[in-house]
Amino acid sequence: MKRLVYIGIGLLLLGSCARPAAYFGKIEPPDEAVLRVGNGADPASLDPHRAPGSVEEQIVINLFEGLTEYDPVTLDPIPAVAEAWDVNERATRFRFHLRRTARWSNGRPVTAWDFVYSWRRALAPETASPNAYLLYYIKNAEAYNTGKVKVRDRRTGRFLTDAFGRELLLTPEELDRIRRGDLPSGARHLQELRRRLNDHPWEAVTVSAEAVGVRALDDATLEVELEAPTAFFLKLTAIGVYRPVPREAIERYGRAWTRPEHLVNNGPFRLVEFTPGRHVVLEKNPLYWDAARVRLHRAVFYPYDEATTVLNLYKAGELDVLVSGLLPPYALRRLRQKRDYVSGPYLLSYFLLVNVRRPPLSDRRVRWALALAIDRERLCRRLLAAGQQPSGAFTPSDFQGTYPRPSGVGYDPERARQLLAAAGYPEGRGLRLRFLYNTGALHAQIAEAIQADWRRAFPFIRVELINQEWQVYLDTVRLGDFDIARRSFSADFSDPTSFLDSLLATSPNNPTGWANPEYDRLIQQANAESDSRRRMTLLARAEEVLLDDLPIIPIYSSVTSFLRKPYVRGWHANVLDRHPLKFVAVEREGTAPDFLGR
Amino acid sequence: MGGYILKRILLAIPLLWLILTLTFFLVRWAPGKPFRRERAIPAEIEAHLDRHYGLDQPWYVQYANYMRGLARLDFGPSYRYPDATVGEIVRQGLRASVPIGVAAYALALGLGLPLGVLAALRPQSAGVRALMGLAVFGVVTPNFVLGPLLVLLFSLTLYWFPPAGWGEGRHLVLPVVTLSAAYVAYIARLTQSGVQRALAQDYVRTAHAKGVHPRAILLRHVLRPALLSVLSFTGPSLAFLLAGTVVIEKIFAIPGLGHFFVQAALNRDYTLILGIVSFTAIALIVLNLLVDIAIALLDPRVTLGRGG
Amino acid sequence: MDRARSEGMGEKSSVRRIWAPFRARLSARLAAGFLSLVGIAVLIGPMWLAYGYDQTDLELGLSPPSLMNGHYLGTDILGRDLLARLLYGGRLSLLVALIATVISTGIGVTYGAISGYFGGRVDEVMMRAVDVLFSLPYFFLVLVLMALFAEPEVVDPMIRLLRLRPDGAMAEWLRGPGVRLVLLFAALGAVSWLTLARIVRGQILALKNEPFVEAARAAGAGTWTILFRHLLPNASGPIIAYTVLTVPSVMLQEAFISFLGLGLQAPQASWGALVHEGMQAMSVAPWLLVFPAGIMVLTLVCFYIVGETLREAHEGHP
Repeated sequence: MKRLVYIGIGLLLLGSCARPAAYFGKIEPPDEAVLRVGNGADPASLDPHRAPGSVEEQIVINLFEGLTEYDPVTLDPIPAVAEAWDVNERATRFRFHLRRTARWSNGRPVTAWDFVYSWRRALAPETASPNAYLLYYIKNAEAYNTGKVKVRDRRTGRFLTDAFGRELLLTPEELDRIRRGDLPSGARHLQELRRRLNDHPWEAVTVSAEAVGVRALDDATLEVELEAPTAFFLKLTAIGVYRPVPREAIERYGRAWTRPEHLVNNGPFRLVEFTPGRHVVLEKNPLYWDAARVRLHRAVFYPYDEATTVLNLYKAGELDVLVSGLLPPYALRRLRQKRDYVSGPYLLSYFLLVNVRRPPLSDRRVRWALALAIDRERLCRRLLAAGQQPSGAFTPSDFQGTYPRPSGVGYDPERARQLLAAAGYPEGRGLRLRFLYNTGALHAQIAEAIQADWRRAFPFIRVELINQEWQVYLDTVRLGDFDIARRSFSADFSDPTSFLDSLLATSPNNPTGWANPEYDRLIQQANAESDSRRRMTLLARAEEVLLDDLPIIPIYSSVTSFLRKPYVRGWHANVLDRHPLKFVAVEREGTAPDFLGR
Repeated sequence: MGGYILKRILLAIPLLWLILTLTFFLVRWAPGKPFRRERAIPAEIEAHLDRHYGLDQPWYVQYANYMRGLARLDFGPSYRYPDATVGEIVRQGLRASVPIGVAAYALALGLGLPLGVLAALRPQSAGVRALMGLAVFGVVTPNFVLGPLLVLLFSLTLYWFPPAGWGEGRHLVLPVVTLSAAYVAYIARLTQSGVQRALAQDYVRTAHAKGVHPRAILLRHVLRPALLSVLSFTGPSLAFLLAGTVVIEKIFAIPGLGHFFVQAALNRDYTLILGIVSFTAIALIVLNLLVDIAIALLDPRVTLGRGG
Repeated sequence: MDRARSEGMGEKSSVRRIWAPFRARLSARLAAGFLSLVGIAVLIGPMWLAYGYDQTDLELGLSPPSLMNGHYLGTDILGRDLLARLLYGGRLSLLVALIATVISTGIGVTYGAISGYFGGRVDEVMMRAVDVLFSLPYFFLVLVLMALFAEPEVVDPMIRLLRLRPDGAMAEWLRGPGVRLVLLFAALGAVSWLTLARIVRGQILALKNEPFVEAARAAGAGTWTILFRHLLPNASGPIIAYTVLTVPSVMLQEAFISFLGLGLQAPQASWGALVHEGMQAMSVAPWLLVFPAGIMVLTLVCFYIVGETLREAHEGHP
């Protein structure tokens, strides 16, 4: 049945292709093998440990090569500095075999010791790396980074664990409270812990850099021990914060080590120039072990952020490709017809945070009523118009079929009215909400459309839209000073936990005030599960618990959408919008596939 | 006169201190904090960041540290660009903002002054009226409309100039024209009313009656006083232009001070904000001083530094 | 001549003098007519429309101007009637601009005149204060104003102070969208007077040694009389010229503030905000730019012509 639908869609597409659509603007390739990328903003830093977001990631992954690299289409980890790896059955110990040909740009070989140094540096509190949390899967990494302590039984020498075998972590304050016996009634887990500790002689252990679970067995072998079974750990090793940094340059130049004249790197490109506000220029690195396959001579990243400007520069042939999300939302309707428009699934969810701490939204029926009254399908089709998928769930729609994602909440204004009446607000009478959103993109229009949907379903509801500048908005949300707030969330890596972890009761990303022990338990259980399929089932059950309670109201899952000149090869739409330039080429003929055969 | 200038320069130091102090507290009073992103990071990591930049200290310690650094002309590291210092970023921004600002104001003066004089001398001429009308459109059209319209015409249709970007002379044309459009009419208007007022003065009548050549009257008795109000307008306007213009730099993707100020403001980069504000303040103080000196030189009625 | 004018004028003669150039000049009459038309339209226009400014219909999103469906100027992306939004937005834009201009002119003229007239140390201090205010980052000034004063802790005392009924419509309005509007007046008015203050001060500085001032002083006129009856009327040309130019600049600043996301609260919109939206939609829905930008630019040009005519009337030039 599904196949039939696809064939139908294919025929329709063929039909619409009968009249070949035009390209947008100039399509003559540049004179040399240079790729000019509209990257959306200045990188904050080119230090992989201090680079906070996707703008930096896009550049950093070309300067520094990790154990693995992203496949440009599927994003699966493919061999890079590591040419092979083994993993134990429980997926708690990984052993990487590094290739001996990998070199730093000063000629020194890349060794396992480089990774030990780099990961310890990324976790060191003095480094203040914003992405250090992505390394917390490694044994003792979180404890070292945050200064938390583990508790050891003096007799057995074992560390105390939670119900799923994960070693407990305590903040120094919690430890102090247990010692002093100052345990407020709310801190039930501490009381329980104190009871457990009463039975044994115990000691608190602080964790040093040396205790972090990464070891060099020899120059070419790196062993990583993890806190818990983590089958997707390989995916993580391609992330920027996992990539190696050069000890000699950092120790010699301090903060200035990322300047072109000091930078030592091991990736396919080297840094020529970084002028804030203007551009970042990379050039092919001749010392790179796989340099023969790198086909670009130069790459320039431009920080332009004004959507219309970016579009004009692309049209005039001054930019060859854009990262996703830079196109003016209004122009998408027209650009979608163009042959150089590219779009694909994206691990980004757009949803509303609901403050469940205070009435009226502490009532689950009100949350359900509001969620049921939003016509997501029409919103996606008429307002967003870039192919976004209406979504009733928290996780976005595309995990390549590995995740049995629940379908969640739908559109049913009649039931919504009944629920709201049952909650004591017939037709929205007496219901008053503050809806917070930030400036930019189509957030205002989306908020207005949702406001209109609610008004249609509940004529007497009063929704006050509050527009705030980005940082103010972040502050307001963090302080919990809202009823409803729009939010979007994108994945760091392609696994549902990248979303689901954020609604754990203790997560810094959960400003809703929602805490559900059942949800937390299911996630923890899943995180201790080494069988991949059982793990996914547990995660899906957790998401069902979440969607039953609705501390967030799902709206849609997003798509990547960008423009790419026909002569650009190897820059594909993928679910994280990551594009390693190693695989990218600029072709004059426009027919040769890249070396992976795509 | 020399003493007066010295006094003004000495006065500038406490003035600068006052401006920076007010800004220091203003930005910390404003909601929002540095290093906040959509995906929140664990509290411990946030604490590392705060400690790294001294933001965990009480405000008076932060203030004292900042002022101590300032005394050594050290503006500290930027939060938005952790690999660079504030001094480097400001210099970088000036390299783009100064040429554009100076060129735009020069263009505005070059068009506005003659237009204003003409409008005062030939108020009935249809041609002059039409030009004044055109200048008015330059003022009232928002620059985020005018800029893209010029781009549409000259870059995307005629392909004369690039639509945006920075680095070569051809990149300058459209932003300079867009930027100056708003100032031509202001300058023309101020010149015109200055000239009209001067023409009505008794000494101009007397000079006419004495048979002084009209051109000499115009230059000596009319233009000089007429320039006064244009001059007082020039100080702040030029300082603003030098400090970068947010909208123009955004539309034309120019890495000027305005661009960096927006970045700093949006990211709550306290040190960079203060660095840019102190540059703006210095530019303003210096330009206003120059303007006051110029007024004193041009206008014998004004004596500097005395009760008047 | 100057002396004659500085003696002050009777009400009647001034009205006649102001009206005279309108009679003489067609463009001025047209501009005044257009402004009155816009004024009437934004005041009573919304009552006659079939659609509200916030009435959405996603299925009709981005439909071009049409006589058939009643959206004579087309619709925006949410299917709201552009004409309704233009008229409603015009109300707010004009209100914000006029009040902010009055505030800024009042502060600027008084401040500049005092500074210029007293000169010396007073002038020094007052002008340095202007320098300080000029150098403060506008963005944060607005941000602090908007963020801190939109809080209920500030709004509720304001409601009590104005003796409004706490549950009345006025109080509701103040708590909701109104407070942003009030703050917008304050923010715009408070920062626009600085340039005018400098200009007025320069004028007064230049005029105060003129013989007619000496004469007035000799005749026993007090400081304030000299300032407001003799000096300021003589400086009125540039003042009016600049005040008139303040209207567009305030409206443009309002647009910029909306652009930063600190302006009026959605679904309300000002002309500036509509123009900004239109710019983004230019390639797919040109009507969203053409009509708002057209009416905004035309209105501002008319303000300009009218102001110009007034200035000439005041200066006594043709």
